[in-house]
Amino acid sequence: MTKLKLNLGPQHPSTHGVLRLILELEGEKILSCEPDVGYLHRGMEKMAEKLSYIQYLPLVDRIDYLAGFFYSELLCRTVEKALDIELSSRVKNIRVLMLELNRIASHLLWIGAFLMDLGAVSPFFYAFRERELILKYFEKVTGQRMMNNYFVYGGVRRDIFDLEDVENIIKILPSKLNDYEKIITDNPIFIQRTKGKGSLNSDVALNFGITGVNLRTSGINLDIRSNDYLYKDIEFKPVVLLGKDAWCRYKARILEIKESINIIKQILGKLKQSTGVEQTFVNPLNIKLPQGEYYSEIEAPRGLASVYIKSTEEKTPYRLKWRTGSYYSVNLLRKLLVGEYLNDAIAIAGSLDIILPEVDK
Amino acid sequence: MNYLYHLYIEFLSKHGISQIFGDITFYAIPLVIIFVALLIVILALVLIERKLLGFFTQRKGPNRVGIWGVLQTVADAFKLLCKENVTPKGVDRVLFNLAPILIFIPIPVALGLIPYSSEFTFMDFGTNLLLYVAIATLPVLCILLGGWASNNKYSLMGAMRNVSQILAYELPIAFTVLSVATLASSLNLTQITLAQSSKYGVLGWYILPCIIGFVIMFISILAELNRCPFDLPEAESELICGYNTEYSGMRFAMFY
Repeated sequence: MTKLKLNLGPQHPSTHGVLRLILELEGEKILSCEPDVGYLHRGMEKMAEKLSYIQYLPLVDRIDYLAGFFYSELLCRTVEKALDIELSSRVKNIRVLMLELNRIASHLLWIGAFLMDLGAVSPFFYAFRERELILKYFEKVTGQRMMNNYFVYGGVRRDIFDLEDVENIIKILPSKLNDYEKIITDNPIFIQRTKGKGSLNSDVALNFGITGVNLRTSGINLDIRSNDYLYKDIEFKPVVLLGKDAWCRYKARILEIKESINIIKQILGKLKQSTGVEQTFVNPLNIKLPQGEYYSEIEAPRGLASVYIKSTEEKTPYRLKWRTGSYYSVNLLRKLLVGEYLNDAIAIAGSLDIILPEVDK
Repeated sequence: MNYLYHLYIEFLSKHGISQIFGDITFYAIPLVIIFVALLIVILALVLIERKLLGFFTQRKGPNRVGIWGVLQTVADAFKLLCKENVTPKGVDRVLFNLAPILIFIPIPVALGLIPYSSEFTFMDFGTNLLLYVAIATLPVLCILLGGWASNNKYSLMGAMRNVSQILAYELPIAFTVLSVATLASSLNLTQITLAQSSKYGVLGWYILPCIIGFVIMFISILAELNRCPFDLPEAESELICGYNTEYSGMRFAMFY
């Protein structure tokens, strides 16, 4: 049988942006897969070397437009660490609230997009309906739906308000999640297309540098939130499953949303007790990090995200490096897709939650 | 039938129109009526489907063109008519243009085979059920033609999937059809229809003795039409609609 070389992407509806996979097919069976990234490269790291810290802050939301809060938190956190700024507890709580809402929004979008990849159109609309509630709240508080630019060095841009909206969201979400589970989780077609597909063993996952939900579904308990200073006073249980397959990754994200709802419930109680946000004022025109190297990390929806800054006491960093979860997931496709069929390939690639702006930066 | 024919000729001669005109139009008028009725039914069904899909997915469905979106499908068809028919580079021009034309042929043939009344059928011969089954598989050839001629790997794969799917589901359809033919002991559609008439009305239909066959038939028809959940050949998410990827404008619309 002759081999067929298929160019999946970059203009393909289910590559979640502009991923290009060069597949070698025999019939519909994949013999080899070569991911080609870089179609959305915006030079995020090089730009940092030309812009001052306050100029760079609005750009980092765009590294992952579905989880912008995480990246601005990451940059803020690193600069605060370098400048020895201690955040007030209310600021910390506001940040956790926004991060967790963002995580829910991101996972909801993933559920919709993943089922769209499998050919089910309606869950996409359901997931977007719930995501809309969260984005509406973001718009109310930060003025933006997606690239929020809400966290600033030393605090947040403005105090939080209308907490009843958040209460409303966490009241509605669990019942809606139950609805999803009724439609999706035990659906025989869904199970047939995802159970046992894209099985990821823990040693492979570790070798490829996979983090986040994808790693936790292969049985390794690694959730950076456990020793994150923002989450110090919050009780939560990392979602660890042993299924290793695409179905398990779906289930884990549903459970993560539920866990996030728990976190938000705790945060809401704390936020209601205090009023008025105390912020440390950082002169935005004169942020200079002391000479040295700084590193911090966070549990983003798509895995461990971290930033490394090398400073030479200039107004701009000497070098800034981002580590994003999706980049490693894309590399994993090289291994996971071999031997699978084309239709499963889409399901597997979708289940890893790859988002291209995060890969290309 | 004869009675109607004489009535019509009489009516024409009363107004001074020759019999030849009557001979021609007697068969043309019902044809036109059926085509118009078919178009209206298609429009209504498409509208209902889009409305329901809208309601399922938290949307309103078409509601801008005409009252309740009635004219939306007409507007869409008009838009597709106005669009440029792009013929991509490297396609087999003859086959590429032929496929959407050929795919339209089974529809009038199938309409001609349907018994509208005990006497009124355009093609009424002993074994027209067999012709019906045969003609129903013609679209898959056109899809293979289109997918092959498109010079696109996705189209080819979609077309191949379609062929294998039809091969798998054509057999059950033939068997369920045969079970009905056995019950009626005829291969003529008119005879089969007449055999189902009884004094018990609906209860006399062969759906009751062939209830398993009915279920099989329904599932197989879904597969034949490439509808969910048998939309593998058109899989938007992996094959980008499969065989009709390269088609545009009215040629694209012909595939529906």
